[in-house]
Amino acid sequence: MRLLSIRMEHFRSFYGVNDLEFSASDSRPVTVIHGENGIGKTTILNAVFWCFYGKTTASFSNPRELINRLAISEGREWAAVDVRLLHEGMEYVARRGLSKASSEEKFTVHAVDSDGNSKSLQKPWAFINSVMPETMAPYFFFHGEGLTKRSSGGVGSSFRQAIRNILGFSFAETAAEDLKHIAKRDWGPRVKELSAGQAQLKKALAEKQAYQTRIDEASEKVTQLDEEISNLATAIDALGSELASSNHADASKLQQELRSKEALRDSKAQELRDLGKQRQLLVKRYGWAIFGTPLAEAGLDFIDEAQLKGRIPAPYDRSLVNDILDAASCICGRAVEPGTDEESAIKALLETANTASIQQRLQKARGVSDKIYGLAEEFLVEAGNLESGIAGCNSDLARVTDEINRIEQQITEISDTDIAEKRSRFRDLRNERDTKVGRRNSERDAIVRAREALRAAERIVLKEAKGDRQLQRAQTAEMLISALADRCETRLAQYEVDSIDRIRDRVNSILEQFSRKSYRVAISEEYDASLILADGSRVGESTGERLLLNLAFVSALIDLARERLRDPGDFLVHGTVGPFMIDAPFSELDRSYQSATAEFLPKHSEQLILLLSSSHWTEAIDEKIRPLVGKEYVLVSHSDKLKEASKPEDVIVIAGRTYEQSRYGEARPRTSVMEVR
Amino acid sequence: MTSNRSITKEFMEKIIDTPELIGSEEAAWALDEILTEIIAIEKRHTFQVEGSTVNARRAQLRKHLDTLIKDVV
Repeated sequence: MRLLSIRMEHFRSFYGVNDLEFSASDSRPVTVIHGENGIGKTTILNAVFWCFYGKTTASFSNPRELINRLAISEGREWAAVDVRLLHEGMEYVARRGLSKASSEEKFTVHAVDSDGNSKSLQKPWAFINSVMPETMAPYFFFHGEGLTKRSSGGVGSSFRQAIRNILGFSFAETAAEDLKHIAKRDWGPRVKELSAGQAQLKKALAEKQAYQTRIDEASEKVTQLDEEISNLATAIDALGSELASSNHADASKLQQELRSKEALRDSKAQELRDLGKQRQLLVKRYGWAIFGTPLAEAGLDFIDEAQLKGRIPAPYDRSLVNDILDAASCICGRAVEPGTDEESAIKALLETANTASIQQRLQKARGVSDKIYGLAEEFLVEAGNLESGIAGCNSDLARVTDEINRIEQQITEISDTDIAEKRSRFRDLRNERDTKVGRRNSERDAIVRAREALRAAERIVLKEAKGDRQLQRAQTAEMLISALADRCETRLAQYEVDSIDRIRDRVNSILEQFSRKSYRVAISEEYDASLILADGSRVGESTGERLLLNLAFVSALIDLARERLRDPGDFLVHGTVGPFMIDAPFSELDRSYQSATAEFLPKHSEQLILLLSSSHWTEAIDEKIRPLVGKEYVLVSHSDKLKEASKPEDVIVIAGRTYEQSRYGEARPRTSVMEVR
Repeated sequence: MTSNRSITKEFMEKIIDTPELIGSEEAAWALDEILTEIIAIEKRHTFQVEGSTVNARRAQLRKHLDTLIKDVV
């Protein structure tokens, strides 16, 4: 989807009708809108957002006052926004209008064909959501300054949720939630009711219920602890930054060193946990072969011995025995009369006689034993590698912990009351966080164990319910629905791990090209991104570096959304291509990073709309962006007051020409749009 | 619905005889088939049913699951 134009009528500071065309060409995909603070840049971004979704962004002030005040005073008590857009080769016009009298909004979308004929769409909001899902929109239309407010530590569950939305998780998440609700509310009580009076079944059901309650309680605790850990991480990070920027040179240096070592310790601890998980998987994959080896050996010994003694296979063939019985004559020439003891003795031989199938089974048994030996050997090699990795990691962890202790000791020896007090708070907060992390991990483990026990109890219930059709149906339904919810969550977890890897690769590639230093990015499972050095130690980021990292992070997300455009969308919401409309993206970047950002942003967007104040528009940005700019505007503030002599001229110079941004003594106070030509 | 109903039916019949199947790797693909149908319901309620409530969506899902289970048990 690309935006073609916007018309704002009596919308906030835009009195009357104000039109603005966006550049939608491939060669010049950038539109730049210059405007000083408070004039209406954020209003334009919100006009698009409101037109599409009937909402404004979180940081938009007075969101209920959308109609221009002057228009209201003149009796024109309405506001409207029209957005023309291009989607899959077809042009559409979305229009949202608001009347003060009714307080009702009217939203329409018309499809316009090449002859200019327009047709109203029956479900306009459904169309807009299919083009750009509302959950993803805040990442395509966003406020750059707000990005730096996301501190490097503790980003919170709402941020994680927003990222999961942009990754397309929303339907699958809702599905898992709905399925759990249906299993618990509809089928659970039905099973209980139907099983009344069956003692064994009742017991199994009670166990099942207890495990389910355990899972629910533990999940609730995990969510709560996640939030608390996230808040503590934010506080720890803030205090760490205070200490690192302290006036006391030694303390500041030591604290910076400490933060870096702590980040390294955290990354080693994570590595160790990952290796531990790999070890568990290894045992799960090969465990049966290891435990099966003695059995396989015993089985093969038995076969070998029995074969040696001629017992397996039997030294006579089934067809030979049948031939003797059919011919009623033994190979020695004696007659075998029916009903005689001799005939019974020969018939008994059929039970142990050798057949092609016995031969085949013997071969199969040997094959299975050989496979078990092979797998056991593979296990030993892989386990050996894993164990040496774990040993290496443990030794790194011990070394870095020693270094941390040494630095902490040195900080403790600094005689400064303020630093000592902050350090003490820092330690308390960290201990509290570690305790909570430990509790969260135990709750997570408890969930895994309870889930396994729940499945076992479900199997017992199902077994007991056999023969009772109604009960069996109810039980099957409950089991299936719970299994579907679990499967849904497992798949989402897998996608999430994969997505974090892909975001990391993309951000690293941007950093590699545009960062002055050799930084890499570390992304936690809460999507907390931080800059690290090659050895895994964390960098004390400047505000500019943080903004660069965040812009690279969002660019990577948008890249992923574009990449998933062709996904079938049967599990995750399929990706989307949209305009990247950013308010104040360069505000806190230094010159070199402004230039880098101005270079990479257009590369990661189909269409880029930049809303900038004059202080953000530098030569470095102009140089990078200018060749890609297709449309450029200046927002002009009209004041009905006379200019105070002390106020400087409010102008902006673009491509060598000067444009005024404020006009005084005008009939109506308002903001207008002036195109730069 | 995009998924193959006979696959899910076959799977449902199997789990009645072998409940151990639920949670196994073997069953994962069948669960995915059913999930595709469920996600389609979730999506339809978000994009096509104007003003759809959580209850309306769950009722639709409940009905779908009920039909699926009634078919085979």
